[in-house]
Amino acid sequence: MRDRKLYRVGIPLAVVAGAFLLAMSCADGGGQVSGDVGDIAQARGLSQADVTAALKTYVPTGKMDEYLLFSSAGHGGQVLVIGVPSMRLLKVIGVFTPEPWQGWGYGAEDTHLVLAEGEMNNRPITWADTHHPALSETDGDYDGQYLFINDKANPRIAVIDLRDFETKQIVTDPLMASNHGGAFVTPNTEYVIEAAQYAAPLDGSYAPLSEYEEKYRGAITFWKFDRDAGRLDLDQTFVIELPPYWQDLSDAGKGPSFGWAFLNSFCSEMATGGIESGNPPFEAGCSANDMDYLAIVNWQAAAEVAAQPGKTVQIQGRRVIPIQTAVEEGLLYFAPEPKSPHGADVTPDGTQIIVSGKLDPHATIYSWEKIQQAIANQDFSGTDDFGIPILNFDAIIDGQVELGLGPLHTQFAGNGVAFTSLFLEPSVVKWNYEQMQVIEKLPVHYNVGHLAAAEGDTKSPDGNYLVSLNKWSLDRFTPVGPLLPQNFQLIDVAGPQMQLLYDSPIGIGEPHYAQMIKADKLNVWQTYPEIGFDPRRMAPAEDPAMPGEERIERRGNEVHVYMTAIRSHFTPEHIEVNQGDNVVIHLTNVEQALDATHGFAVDKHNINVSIEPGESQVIRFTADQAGVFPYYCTEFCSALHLEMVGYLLVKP
Amino acid sequence: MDRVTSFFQGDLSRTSRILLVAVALALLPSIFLPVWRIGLIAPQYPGGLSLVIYPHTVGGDLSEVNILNHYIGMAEIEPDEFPEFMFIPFFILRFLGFAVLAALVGRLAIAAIGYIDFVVFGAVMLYDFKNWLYEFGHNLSPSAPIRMEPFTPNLLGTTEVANFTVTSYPSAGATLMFVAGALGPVILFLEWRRRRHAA
Repeated sequence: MRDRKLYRVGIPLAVVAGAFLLAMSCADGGGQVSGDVGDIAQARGLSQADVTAALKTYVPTGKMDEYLLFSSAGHGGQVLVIGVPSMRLLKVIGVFTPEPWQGWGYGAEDTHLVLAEGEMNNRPITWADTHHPALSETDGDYDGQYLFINDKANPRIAVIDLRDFETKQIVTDPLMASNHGGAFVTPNTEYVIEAAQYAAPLDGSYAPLSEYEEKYRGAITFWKFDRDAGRLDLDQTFVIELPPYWQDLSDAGKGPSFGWAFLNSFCSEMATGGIESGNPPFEAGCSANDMDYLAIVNWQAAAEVAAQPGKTVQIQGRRVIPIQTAVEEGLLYFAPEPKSPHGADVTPDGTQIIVSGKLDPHATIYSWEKIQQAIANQDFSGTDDFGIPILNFDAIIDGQVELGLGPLHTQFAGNGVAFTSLFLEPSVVKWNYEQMQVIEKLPVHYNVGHLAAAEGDTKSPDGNYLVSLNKWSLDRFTPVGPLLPQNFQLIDVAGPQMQLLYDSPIGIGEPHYAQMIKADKLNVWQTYPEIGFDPRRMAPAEDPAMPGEERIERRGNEVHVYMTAIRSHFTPEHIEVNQGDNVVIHLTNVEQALDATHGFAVDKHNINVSIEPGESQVIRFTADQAGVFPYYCTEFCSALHLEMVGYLLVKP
Repeated sequence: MDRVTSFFQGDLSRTSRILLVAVALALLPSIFLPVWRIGLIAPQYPGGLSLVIYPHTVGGDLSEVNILNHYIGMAEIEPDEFPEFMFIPFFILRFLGFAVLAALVGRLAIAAIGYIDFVVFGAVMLYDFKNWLYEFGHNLSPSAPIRMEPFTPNLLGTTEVANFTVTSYPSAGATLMFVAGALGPVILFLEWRRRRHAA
């Protein structure tokens, strides 16, 4: 609280200070400090607003950012960690895609085990279309413990532990062909929600598009999260079958709407495309009707239904509640919503749901209270083709607010204030959903998709920073070829007027969504808690190399090397094996000092492992090539880093 | 000579006995508290490193300091290999015992013996410490990656060693021992004055 007050005082003060300095410099060019600032601003062609923006974002050496922005890396298949307000990239977390610096998928057995969890149909999949990161929550607020992220292209969810910023688990969803409405968490991270996007047969079989309505289906998966284990628990996970509409974003209810989830679906026309045969293309077929459906799902009751015998069917090893059961048990309702919706965002107090779609200039505000009444009174306007009751639109909305062109996604600032991205304008609109009034629009550059406000989807948004995740950057950055970086724009939303502060290019993929958490909520380990620690299991390693016990043991054609690393040597420095031996290196970094990370690369073997202080890893490979192969430390650890080397000698 | 003997044979005043209790109370925590601290400052270590010397062991950033020391070929600091740590706590307990006994029995002679014992021990230990600093600074392995001139870190004050500024100073335990030690002459003075007034 105190920090926020300080901040609210601080920003105006900074603005005033900046303006004052500038005014001083204009009035008196010969002054000492003020003259310098003015001269610099003038020489660089900076306006007063530029100078205040610089003052608001500059984080001097030794000082730290107030917030962490966890962003999807889009096609990069990773998670980006960015400091706010400096917008400096702090880390790229290896998730679905191998990442050599962290040794993610380059020899360390742990990392291969996690990446292998993400194989689909026995095929390693080394990229991902990461979309929506979700921070774990307790009582509707970020708790800073875990991060989840989905892969749209290959329906998967990854679990990242925010103690060491490493991926611990990847789960695949065999029922879905692709996913989009996830990852989103329930208010205590009871479940991680993931909804399908493009419909397909849930059993993974072939079905012609002529059987689309009969055989193709959507789905919503509720992954049970075991917080103590830090893993998604497949045994307690369940799925609700949905019609073959395409699910878009989802959000979990909180406060009065706790226990429910809301997810958009589009293409309720069930168009099957085929432009080449003279059919309307998907883009037209999927937007023919004026209304699509917001699915309203009682996940709390669904979990109980899923636990009862006979209420679920097994599809590909998953418990699935069929549509009919979901309707009979009162788990699933539809609310009409303007076509091609994107965001379904629950207000901080959990009493309203704001839906907006690219093709309608309005945001539609649904009342949770009215939805409950309509359900109780069976105030339905009919059912869809699959028998799902459709609530009477007029009975459940509080109103619609015209925001502008292409409203996509909404984040909150508290006190009824919301920010919605306008893809087509492209702008961010600040508006009040309680007073149903537009307050202000700020142009962004360009084609904004999602927004990420400081703790902006929790029950207590901070209301100071907003990041606009822009798809196009056009003329914002020095040209770097025809593939342009994306543009993250930091906006100060603490004052009465929004101010654009900073453009941050993202040159690794197209991020979709990001979440911003107060940095002091995290409890980050800076070294592993003891020497010989296994990061995947987050426990002491089972058979680690320990200082003083380094050795080489031959077990048949397996050669086990118990190796330690400390500045500036590996022990042992000679490994002699026969061609064809299977080499197993148990490698421990026995350092305890901050930042004393060592790398371990074996030349010509595609091996590079990062071992952070205390960490232990197992590296397995076959010495299939006779010859001499240096292995060396790939982190510049010390003055004698180049001498931190050994020889693998493979005898023919 | 008789005067000296009779002086020490005398009883202790109430004030002196209270002061002896104070000596004991000062010595008690010093068994557990750090005696000496060696701070190491270098740009790469913004918070600095430290070696904390207790009556029974060496703590602080021992493993990091050992890693750094190995570059200049200094022997590893292994607390278990210093015999001193086996008996220092018991010595402090012994001085404490003298002080308590002297306070209870009220004999100046006991206090005096304990005090001499304490002062001699302190001097020997400081010499011993200084000696170890010399040993570590001079027994540098000739095959060390970085060769440097042998040196002796200061027992008290600052020494520059490569990129480190090393500062050595007494810590809480030693401070309490100095306080206890300073009370000895005070008691002696009080007793001398009392006897002179009585005479």
